[in-house]
Formats: sequence, C-alpha cells, structure tokens
Amino acid sequence: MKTIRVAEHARSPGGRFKSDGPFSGEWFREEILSPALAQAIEAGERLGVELGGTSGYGSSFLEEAFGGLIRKRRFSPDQVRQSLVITAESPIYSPYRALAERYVQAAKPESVAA
Amino acid sequence: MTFSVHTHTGAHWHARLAPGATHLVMPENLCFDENAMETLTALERLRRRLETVRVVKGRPSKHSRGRTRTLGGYTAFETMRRISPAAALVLAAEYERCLLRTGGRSNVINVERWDNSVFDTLWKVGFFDLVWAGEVEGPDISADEVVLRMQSGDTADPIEVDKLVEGLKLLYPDPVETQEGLVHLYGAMIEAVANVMNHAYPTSWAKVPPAALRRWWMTGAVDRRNRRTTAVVFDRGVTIPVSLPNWANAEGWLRRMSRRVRIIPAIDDPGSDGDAIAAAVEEALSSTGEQHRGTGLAQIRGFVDQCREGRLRIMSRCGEVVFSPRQQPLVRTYDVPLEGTLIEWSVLL
Repeated sequence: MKTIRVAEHARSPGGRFKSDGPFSGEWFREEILSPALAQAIEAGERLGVELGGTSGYGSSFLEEAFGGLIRKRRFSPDQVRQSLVITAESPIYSPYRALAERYVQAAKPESVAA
Repeated sequence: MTFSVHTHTGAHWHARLAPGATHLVMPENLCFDENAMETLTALERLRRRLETVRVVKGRPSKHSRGRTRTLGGYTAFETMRRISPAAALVLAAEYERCLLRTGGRSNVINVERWDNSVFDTLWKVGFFDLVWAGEVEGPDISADEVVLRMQSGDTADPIEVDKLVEGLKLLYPDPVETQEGLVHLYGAMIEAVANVMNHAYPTSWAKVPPAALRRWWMTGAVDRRNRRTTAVVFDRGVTIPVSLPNWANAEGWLRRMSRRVRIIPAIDDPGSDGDAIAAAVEEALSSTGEQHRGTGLAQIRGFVDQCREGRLRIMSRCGEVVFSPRQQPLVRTYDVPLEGTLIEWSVLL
C-alpha cells in the first residue's frame, strides 16, 4: 500500500479553500490526494494517508480534503471508504484521524445543477 | 501642563493642551477578564479618536521647531498599570488599522511616564512599530510573562500561525512536553483564522472595510512561572451574532436561541449577544458532521477540553462567553460593543 505523508506536502496545513491561502484542504485534495487515490483505485490497491508530523489541522482542512473527495463527486462513497486508509502513527494526531474518518463517513455527493 | 512629544524624525518637542481639548484617559487595568466594561469603553473611545486622528507624516516645519505646540487632544497611557495580552492585541490592532487607513503613524506621548509592565507588554506586542514615540529602549526580556509580537494578515496563512506557535514553543524549557498541546493549539488557531477569512468580512456587509483592512490579528504569551499559555485571535469584522442568521447551522442555532431567550432578537439588537454566541457553540458541538460547513467553532471550543486546565473566551459585538472544561459557560452581554470578534485561549499545556 502506498502512503502519502501530509507533512511532506504541507508542513502547516491551512484553511478550507485555495482562496483562503496556501496549503488549503481544497489544494491538498486536488493536487495530492485525488490523483494518488485515482491511481491506487486503478491499480486495485489501497492508499494510506499519514497525518503525523504536521503543525496540526483545522477541521475545515480535513473536511474539505477528505469529505470533499465524495462531496465533489470525484469518487463514489464506496470507492473512498474501501480504498482510503487514514493513519496517525503518533497518538497526538489520533483526534485528527477520527475527525477525518468522520467526515468521510458523513459526506454525501453534492447534487449537480441541471 | 506640558507634554513631551517625539516624532519619527527624531525631533523632540513640547506641547500643551488647547482650551477645550479632549483627552482620553486609559483605565488603570486594561483587561477583558478583570475590568471588562472600562476596557471596552476605553477601546471604543480610542477607536473613535483614531478614526478622526490627524497623523504626522512629514518633518515639523523649520519655524515650529523648539516651540511649544498646542495639541487638540491626546491619549493618556501613563494612567495604565496593567494591560493583558488580549487587550494589548486589540489596542495594537486599532493602531495598525489607523496606519493602514491613513498611511501615517500617530504620536504617543509621555512614554517615559508609562508604567514599566505596560511599556514591556506593548513593546513586545509590536506597538512601537505602529506609532511615533521617539527613541525608546527595549524592555527586560527575562520577565516571567513573555508576549509575542503581534502578527496580522489577510489570508488564512498557515505559515504565520505556525510561526506564532513555534514562538510559544521556544518559550518552554522542554518543548517535547508541550508538543501535543501546541499541535492542537495550532489546529484551533488556523480554524479561527480561516473562519475570519470566510465569514468575518462578507462583501454584502454594508460596513465592509476596504480590502487592506479585512484582516485578522493574533498574538500569544507564556507565563513561565505558572506555565500558562495564552493565544488570541482578533478581527474587526461583521461579528458572530450578526453573521449567525446566514450560518450553515442557522436552523439549529435558532431553535437553541428560542429556548434561551424566547423571542429571537433582530439582527441589529445586541441585547442577547452573549446567548447568541453560546447557542452557536452548542449547536456546533452537537453537529455530527452531516453539515460539512460550520463546525469550526466546535474545534475552537474543543481545544480547551484537551488541556489539563484552560479557558476559552469568545467576545463578539456585545456578547461574551467563557468556556471552561466541565463547567457551565459564563454568558455575559455588555452595553458597549467590541466592534469585532476576540477569541482567547488561556491554557495549561
């Protein structure tokens, strides 16, 4: 299983949207997470995302990065729930892992305007 | 009575008050915790003064040098004996707004008569970068309480938040011991700053300031003797009570408000602002994640529960709520508005 370490891409994760500033959840999802997850699904593998080593996380970053995979219809709920493994090697980051998992579970695809 | 005034050019001149001149006397204790009403009132008057202030941009004219000048008014800081980090942040933010708005710095006078601890705190927070005070020497940096330099910005810039948290970390003898607390403090602070950028300055707001003033300000402090860490984020935006009707969780908030105050106040009625903030935090905490927006307040509140001991103060417009772990929140509504939102964590890491 390939693993992405968030800290290698964003030592200090930011807000929700790219317009909020650098290293946002939207940026991380679009530039790092989505391409890697698509590749993993195509190869029939799972993708790990390790949360440790960063300065911390705002909840809006986590929701936009992880919940956004489903909300934005880039992946189906089943694809994300079966292929994405969120980890926290250090217990310091466990609350963030729990939060990210909660956002994945709660996310619903947004309706598309006709 | 004459005053000594220093200008940015290094000139030092004397001044006296004009007949009928107004002067603002700052309270002895500028602190939201210990002297909230006087602090809010003084900051409100200072704000009005700075909005109409005539700043000095150029060198004093050749003819005026050496003469005693007449001042139309001044702000007396020498009356202060204490200033909290949160009050110092709001004070400095008002002077930075004045600087950004006018392009010039206000003079502060009688600095040599200021209380040492007030001078120390204002020096450390960066106040003297925003005003003309002449040549002043820096304070003793070995004091028990160390306040970090104020930072401000107009994006949710994680690098700035990280810088502040790293600054706090360096003040502890054993950074490893505080690592967990600081990781969660970072999370709460970046969320607070992101909230400012997303909600505090809506372009639909009738009083939305020019882009350069749509900012957040923050600072931090460590009381090394008591191992207490303080972090503060402030903005001069629309305020929480005004933005709540457009909030993602507005429906749940309205239900909670009607239980608290029975009749929901009009948006321009600040009489229940304390309850409005408390109901919003309650609603954010009870959200199970089905709403993908509007959960930032839960993280801002939740950080305090992760600490050994702590307190979160949210002040917005006229309302104030103080949260402590395992205790009922303390809800207050003041007669004088803050004209912005202040979030202050004070915790033992």
